[in-house]
Amino acid sequence: MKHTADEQKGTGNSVRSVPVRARRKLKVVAADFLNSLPLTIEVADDDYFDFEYVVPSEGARQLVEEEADIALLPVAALAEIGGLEVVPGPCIGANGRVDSVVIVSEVPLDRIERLYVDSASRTSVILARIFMESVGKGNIPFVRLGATEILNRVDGEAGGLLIADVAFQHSKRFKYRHDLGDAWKRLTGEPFVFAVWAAAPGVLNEEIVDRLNRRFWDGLARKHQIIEEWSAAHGMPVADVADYLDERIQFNLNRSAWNGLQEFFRIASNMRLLPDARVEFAQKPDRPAAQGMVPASFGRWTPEIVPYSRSYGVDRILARADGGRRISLHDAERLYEEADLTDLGEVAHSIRMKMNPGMRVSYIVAMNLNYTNVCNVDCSFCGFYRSHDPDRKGYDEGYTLNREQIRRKMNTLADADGAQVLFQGGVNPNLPIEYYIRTFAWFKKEWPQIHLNCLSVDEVLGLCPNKTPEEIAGVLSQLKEAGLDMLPGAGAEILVDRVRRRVSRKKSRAAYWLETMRQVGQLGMHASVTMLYGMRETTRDKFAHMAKIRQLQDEVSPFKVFISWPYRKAESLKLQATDQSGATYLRMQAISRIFFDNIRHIMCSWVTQGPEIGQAALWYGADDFGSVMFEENVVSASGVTYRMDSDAMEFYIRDAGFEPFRRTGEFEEWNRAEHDAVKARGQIVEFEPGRIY
Amino acid sequence: MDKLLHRVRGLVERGERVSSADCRALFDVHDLNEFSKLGRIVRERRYGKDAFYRSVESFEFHGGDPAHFLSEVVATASDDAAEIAIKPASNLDEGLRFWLDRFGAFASPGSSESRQIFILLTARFVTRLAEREGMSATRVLSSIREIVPVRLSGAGGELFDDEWRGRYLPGGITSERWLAVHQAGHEIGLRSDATMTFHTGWNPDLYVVHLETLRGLQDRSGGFHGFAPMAYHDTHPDTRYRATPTAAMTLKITTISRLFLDNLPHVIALPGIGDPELSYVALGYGADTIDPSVRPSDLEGMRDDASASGAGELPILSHENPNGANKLALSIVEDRIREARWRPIPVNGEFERIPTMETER
Repeated sequence: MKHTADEQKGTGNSVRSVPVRARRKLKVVAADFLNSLPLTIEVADDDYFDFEYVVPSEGARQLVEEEADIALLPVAALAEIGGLEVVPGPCIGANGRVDSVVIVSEVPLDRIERLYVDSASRTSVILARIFMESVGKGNIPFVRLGATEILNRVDGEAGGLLIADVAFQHSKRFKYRHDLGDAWKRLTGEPFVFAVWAAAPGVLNEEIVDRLNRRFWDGLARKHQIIEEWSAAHGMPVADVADYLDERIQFNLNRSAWNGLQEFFRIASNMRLLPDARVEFAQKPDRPAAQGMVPASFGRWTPEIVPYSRSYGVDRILARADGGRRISLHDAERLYEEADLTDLGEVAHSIRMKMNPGMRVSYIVAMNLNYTNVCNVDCSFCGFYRSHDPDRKGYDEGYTLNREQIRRKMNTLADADGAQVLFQGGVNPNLPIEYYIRTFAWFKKEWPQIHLNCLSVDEVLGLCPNKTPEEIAGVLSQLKEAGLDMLPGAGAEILVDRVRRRVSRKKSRAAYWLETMRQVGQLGMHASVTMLYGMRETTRDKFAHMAKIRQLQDEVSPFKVFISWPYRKAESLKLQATDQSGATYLRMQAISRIFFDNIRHIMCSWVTQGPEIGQAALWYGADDFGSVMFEENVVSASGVTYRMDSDAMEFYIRDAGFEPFRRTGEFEEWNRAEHDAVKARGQIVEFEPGRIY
Repeated sequence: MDKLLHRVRGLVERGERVSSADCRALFDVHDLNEFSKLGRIVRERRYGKDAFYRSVESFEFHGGDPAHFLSEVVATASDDAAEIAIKPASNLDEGLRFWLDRFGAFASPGSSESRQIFILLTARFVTRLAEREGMSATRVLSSIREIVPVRLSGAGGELFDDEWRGRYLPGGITSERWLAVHQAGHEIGLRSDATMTFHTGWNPDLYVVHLETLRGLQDRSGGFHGFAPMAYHDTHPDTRYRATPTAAMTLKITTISRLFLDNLPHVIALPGIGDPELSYVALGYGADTIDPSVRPSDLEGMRDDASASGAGELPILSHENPNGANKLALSIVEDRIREARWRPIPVNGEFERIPTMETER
């Protein structure tokens, strides 16, 4: 049914119509899953909305980055983001057996020792965690795989979490099936809610809530059409599809569903799986109080707006974070805007002491080896690079080190008992993958004691013309095989494309950066992760960046350490700098310690902040003082020229009240005997003079 | 150590004095979070979230043609500045008459000049004039004040230890003289800043004696309106850590001075000396005022030391001071204060609030 923007239907309530010309259309996004179609099919046809079908993670991204106004949001994302409002009325839930979220295995539950899970549904994975915990199997590893791969891996003591179509079509072939909708009902006595319509505060009003509810009822009236079309398109029996929509899915966010949602948040928060969430109905000032916590009727639309995760006060957010609770993106924003730096420092330090016990601070002896400054990315905040294009200014100043030059630098590092080389440069289109393979193999043969922390994500992507996950995994595998140990986190900047497009038009989009790091994690490699703020991004952008990193870390754990620093404007650069103060740096770092409950180490950035703020940062959540620098060319290109040797680093660490220790690239304590033993195995590699590779 | 912090917190919360022994013991505490909490108790009780910044720009006057000098000063001083401080060079061997002649020209800068112009005298300058003329410091100060607005600078306080001063301030005045000049100024109604130079490598016993001395004089005269700890620093990237007070030291001294100097209204952080960013962090450690007008040359010991080594006046790292080596634009000061989540309040050298559009509303 086609709807016009100014269409009204009588509901017995006074609904004001907003002329379409007077407002921007609201962007609404939702997944085109079978169970969501009754909610979305009529919204998609309504001219009042600018509607788009997207996968759930994309819907969450658009809502976070303020590209979408309303999203049909999985409830896990609702908790991770925080501070959103929920549309009362429709939901996607299950009051018992659901058939589309099922744990399967060939052995009884108590014999499952590993669970393969489909990372596409975070809410289902958390539900599976809760279920496994309830049957005494809370500690088994959850391994993320693609949906179809899970089917092939479920065997013996390995179970699998199947969702959506895969669950429908394949779960019956396994000996043991545990329907998580049913399990939840037996566990709590309440329905489970998978997704709800959600929006940022200020978006929803009575008219919009009413409209979404009416479109839902209109969509429900088309259920038979949906069943027939879905059945035909997916080759599923009509009876199964009908049974699913008629019997398995609960579409009303009624009182018991609401209770179920609250219970899910409570349990998930207690298990440290989701941020602490509080769910309650807003009390609109011009309306009589609702009865109790919820409106009297859920079945039809209600004028009450339901805010989700009405935020705690800043003090309570901090207290609960200190108690081990995860904070939401919205909580982090509030801490950034409102919290006292003193309080942030105290809680960040407390959390740091729990994650890295003892008053010890690590540092590493490493070298930044900037092998080339030739680059085709043209970041507006970078004073280091020179264009690969002969027609561009600065082309003549481009360099690529030859092997003698690199050997001299590596020997300098080796002579100082260096533990790691940070081999990074521009994205030089003249260097093929063979260059890196030969270079890393050479490094491992001649200096086996040195940990190879090499290539930013964009340098890796520069070797992947198609940038598919398979291609990225293939390139990383080759580099790993050659000797690459770890990826530096440089180039993350702010993982919000609106910001990335503005500061670096040609830089990889956020999804590619994240996909590369996902492959790093899946290959069992590690990386650091960074954040370059102060480029006129919003507070939301800063914490959207952090939220994406935290979610990826939940999935495949690639990150060893997080480091943030502000962009510094060199005279030659046009991009204006914001958030430059040392106080803001300490604030960002402290919040990062509080936010990243799944990244063990926080490194302070004395290279950009200077030793004074760098030292103070040790009391604001940092447990690592970074690296002694023999050479640094990128930050110094912006005019910042701080240097420190081992003596200086240890002096600053001790002066702040901590005990310094040297570490390896893997964040283990550096041991001279082990280092020397490995070093002794090094063999000089011969090559022709002047060769690049 | 926990007992110490607990005891000091109790004293501070009850508004009681911290003893010299506790003051000394606090120097051995490392926990910056605790220092921040203690410092804030006092500064927030006094000023809430207000953070003051001095809207003063200073110029050194070497005794040349005062009319020409004044025209240059008026032309170059920032429009942001509410006041202009003229600091006579203290190394000139000229008499009182010479200076009175020149200062007289600054008394009436012209009707178009809305900024307050005053002479900022150091204890060293006053002492030399008094000795040369055979008169008291009180007399020197009174004579100058009769013809032009005068204020007394805190420069040269350094450390009240004769051995230290003999080493770092050859040719400087003694502690006794510095204190006498300030007391004399207070007695005739002038108010001044107190200062202390510190460095990570020096004995904290010296600081305790210094702070005790200041607190004692303040009990008697009540003439200090602010205290500014001044970091003796070296900006060379290769050596700075060996000769520069660390952040831990700077923040610790900020808090300790705020706790110990319970009779001084303000604790001042100086972005022109050391790492400027640290001064805004210090607002969360007990400091309540930013004074961007103070420069490295105001540390007499450091200036002499630098000159002796041929290094000249020590520069501040250029990227931290986009508007010049030794000057911070007041708009940047305001922005930095806001970024640190305090409310910026412009004040003049006497801590009188300067009306702004915002405050007038």
